Amino acid sequence: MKRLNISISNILPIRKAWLGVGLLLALSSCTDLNEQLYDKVSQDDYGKTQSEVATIVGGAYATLRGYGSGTPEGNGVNCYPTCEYVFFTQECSSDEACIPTRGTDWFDGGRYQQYQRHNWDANNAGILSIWRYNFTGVSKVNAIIYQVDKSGLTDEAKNKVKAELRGLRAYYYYNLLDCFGNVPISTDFTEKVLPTNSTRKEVFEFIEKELKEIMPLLPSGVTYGRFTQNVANTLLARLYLNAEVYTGSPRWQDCLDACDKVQGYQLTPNYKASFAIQNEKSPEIIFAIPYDHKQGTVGNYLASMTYHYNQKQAFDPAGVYQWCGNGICAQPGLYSSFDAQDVRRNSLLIGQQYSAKDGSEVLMDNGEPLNYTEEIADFTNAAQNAGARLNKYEWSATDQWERDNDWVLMRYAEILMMQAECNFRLGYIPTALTYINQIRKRAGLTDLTSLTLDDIDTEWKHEFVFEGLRRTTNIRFGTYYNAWWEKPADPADHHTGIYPIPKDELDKNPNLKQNPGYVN
Amino acid sequence: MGGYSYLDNTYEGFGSTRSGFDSDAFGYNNLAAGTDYRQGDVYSYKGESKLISFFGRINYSLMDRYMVTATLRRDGSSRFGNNHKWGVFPSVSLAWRISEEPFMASTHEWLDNLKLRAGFGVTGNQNGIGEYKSLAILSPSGAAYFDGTTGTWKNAYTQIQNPNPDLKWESTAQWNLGVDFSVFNKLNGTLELYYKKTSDLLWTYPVPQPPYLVGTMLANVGDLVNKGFELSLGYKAVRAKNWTLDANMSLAYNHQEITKLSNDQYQAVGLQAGSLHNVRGMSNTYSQVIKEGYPAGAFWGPHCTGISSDGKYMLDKDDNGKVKDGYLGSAMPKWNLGLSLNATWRDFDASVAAYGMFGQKVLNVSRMVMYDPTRFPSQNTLDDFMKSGITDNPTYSDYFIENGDFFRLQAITLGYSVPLNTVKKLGLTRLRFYVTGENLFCITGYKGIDPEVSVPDNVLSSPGIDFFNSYPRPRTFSLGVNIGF
Repeated sequence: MKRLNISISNILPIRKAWLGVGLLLALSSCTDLNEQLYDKVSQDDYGKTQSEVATIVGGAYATLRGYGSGTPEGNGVNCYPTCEYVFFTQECSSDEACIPTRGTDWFDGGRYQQYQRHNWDANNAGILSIWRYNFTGVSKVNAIIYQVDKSGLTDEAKNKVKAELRGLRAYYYYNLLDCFGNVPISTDFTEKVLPTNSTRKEVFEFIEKELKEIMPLLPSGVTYGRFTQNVANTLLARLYLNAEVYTGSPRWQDCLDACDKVQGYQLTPNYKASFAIQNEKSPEIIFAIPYDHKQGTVGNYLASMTYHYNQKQAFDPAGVYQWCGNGICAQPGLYSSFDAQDVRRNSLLIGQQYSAKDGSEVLMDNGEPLNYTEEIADFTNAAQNAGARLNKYEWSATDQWERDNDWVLMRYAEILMMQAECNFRLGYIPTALTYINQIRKRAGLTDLTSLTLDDIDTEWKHEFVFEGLRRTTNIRFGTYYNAWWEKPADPADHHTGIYPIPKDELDKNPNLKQNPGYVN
Repeated sequence: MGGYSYLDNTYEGFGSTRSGFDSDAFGYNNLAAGTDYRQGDVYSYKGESKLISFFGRINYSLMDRYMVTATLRRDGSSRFGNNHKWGVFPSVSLAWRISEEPFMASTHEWLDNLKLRAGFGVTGNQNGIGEYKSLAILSPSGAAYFDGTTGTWKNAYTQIQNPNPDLKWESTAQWNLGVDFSVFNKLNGTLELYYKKTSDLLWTYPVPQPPYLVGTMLANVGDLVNKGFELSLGYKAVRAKNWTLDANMSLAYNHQEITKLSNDQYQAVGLQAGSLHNVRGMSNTYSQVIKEGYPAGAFWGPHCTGISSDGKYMLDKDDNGKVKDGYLGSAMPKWNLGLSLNATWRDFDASVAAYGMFGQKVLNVSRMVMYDPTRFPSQNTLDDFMKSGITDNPTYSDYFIENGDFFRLQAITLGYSVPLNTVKKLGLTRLRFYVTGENLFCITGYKGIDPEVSVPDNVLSSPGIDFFNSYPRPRTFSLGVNIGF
């Protein structure tokens, strides 16, 4: 008889074994093989009370933080919205950021170079992580909706709870619409038939319909970290702002109407306040992913991916700041595109770093001074100090590996910028100027008196530098396909405006079709 | 003979941890003195599995010549889906002692034993899969959320796996045919042919998202066939007054093939395995596939045809200039050889044991990592890398897949036993001094430290990859005394 192997170490092992010889009668207890759950609960037995339902719905918000590569959800790929999939992949596909290869570091099969040069293939792990993050979110929300339906709540209460869940699902679908376009629409947890792609237009219409249906059921007013009417209207405005890209038909006025419904927020006088460690107090934030390492939140370590290995000496008088990996940085030209008096330029870190202990110059391991340069002489073999660093979110000498800054997904400045852009595109230039000048004033800049599309593009770039919006903005303005720095012009069919469906998923689901212009 | 067995395995534990102490004075005796409170500071867990079996066996022997053994087991495991907890596993074996037949009487002078055996049996496996995989369950792990209404963090419970209610026993059906013989009281041996088919292999299988919750599910995924033979021979070479010499050898051949993977889609591409994620610069690179028509541990990747004049790996490409992946050999050994010699001379004894494995490939990751132009001069590198002129980044290809054939001298022992009458005077029953040398040499063409890379319990778990973390087998010498009271 073989002993069962238990992989978890046993602190208090209790093992009972009886070995009986002689044929026993099949008494029910002698053949009972039902699995008894102790430290987990069965899906079917849970969700009877209001407080139980609250813990299930809370799980939908927890999905926003994403998954590590060691979890069943991540399964070999880090899927964090705070790092890998948004920043390494999407930001590095835009004209804002890049990850140069530095020696053997940051090569990883050439995938970061692929983002920059727009020559990715369907095997690229970062693209897979966009899919995993968003579709795991969709599936988990679907599972939670299924449980809410089975719960003891009244129909009215169910619908209210489900409105928030559907809103989160619409948020995930917006990301999928933006990155992949033609994705399957999945709304039923119990349906296990392998789905096929919907068109990008169908996905657009699905998101629009969902957001409109749930709008009256969502909480009104301002509640931090919650999917409210304000969040739904901001998402709807984003959808309409990019409608021409997604469907071929612009919806500028619809975008303005949605923006008008977002109420209760204001620009913080200090631009940096929304990125402070205690940024949950910012009256500008419409939607954010809350983090607190003491609550076990994981994935919030982008800061460690950008600073040089020896940055710790500049941050921490004791010189023991968290390990930093010297990766993602700004593309050359970004830093110098800011005016010197623009407070937003401090979102980038450049120049010589000085010791927090004695003010001496911090050196790199090769003995040269740690002096971040805007220029990157060789993208495929960059110097350790090449490239301005992401310095938007506040840091402190006592930062843990898991940072505590909440991750900003939507803030009021985006509403103002959408209002500026849509008014401009509809020909209402004086109105557009009032919106964009609010943004500029806070940044410490003088008012504009005339306006071009380029001015608006630049304002988007500077206001939302390193916030994960740049790829979408580049595509909307068409600049995404131009030649720049390390990138030749994109192929004329512009198929690179969406990513390929990951090969990993095509292999698993024969009903899925690859996006146009990509080979499997 | 019949029987019943009941095995209940319950495991549980708890722990607590705290940091942020003002003083070291308390040690772990006053955890409350720590001020840094975190989620997960206190935890407990508990789980249980049950394994229940009914079994019976019948032996029948007719005239000491014809023998039948039949067994029947009905095994139940709590780990499987509700309708699949029980499995029935029969076996039957037949033996015929030909040497005892009357018509063989004339051979008794030289033929001590000749027996023909045939058998068929099925066994079940439920090891290594853990509990609760067939159920839809919620767990609180890592899922706190911030409740903006109250401004506090609260617990959340989320679905943690794709439940597989169809999870069932993995089973292996084996046919075997064997001959045992012994002649002149000197030479004995066994030859056995076998065909073994494992069905419903238990493996964590990728599933599409959507519609599934997460991208993997524990499932019964396919069939695996092993076939081959095992030959063992023993020879009592010398039986003289003062000395004896015995020689034994064994030789085995095995052919393995995955004959079925349950999703049609994977016949073409296979499942990725042998992850190289942890190798610098190789995130998301895989070295093996699990694929129909190939053995487990099938290396899969580009074929390197040489090094170009500017120091780049030249990899086989298809017509479109894309690097072509293909089968690069298997980590499973084809041949196993074992040899041993035992000798005694008066009160001295000596034994030698050696073994070898042949036909398997090993991926030398240690070497692949050291083949890195950025290491020199700040980090150690390999001498032959410096001579190779390679300037490329570390790249996975069959350039680093080597023959793992080896023949190892496992042990030599020399012993001296003090004669019995002397021992008795000392009030002992036995007194022997010995010296043993283990792992004295290993003949191999493998360039790494040790070609014998450990094989994981589950054959699908990427065997044959020499990561730079294995502790090499030591060469040991020991002196010892056996004392019997």
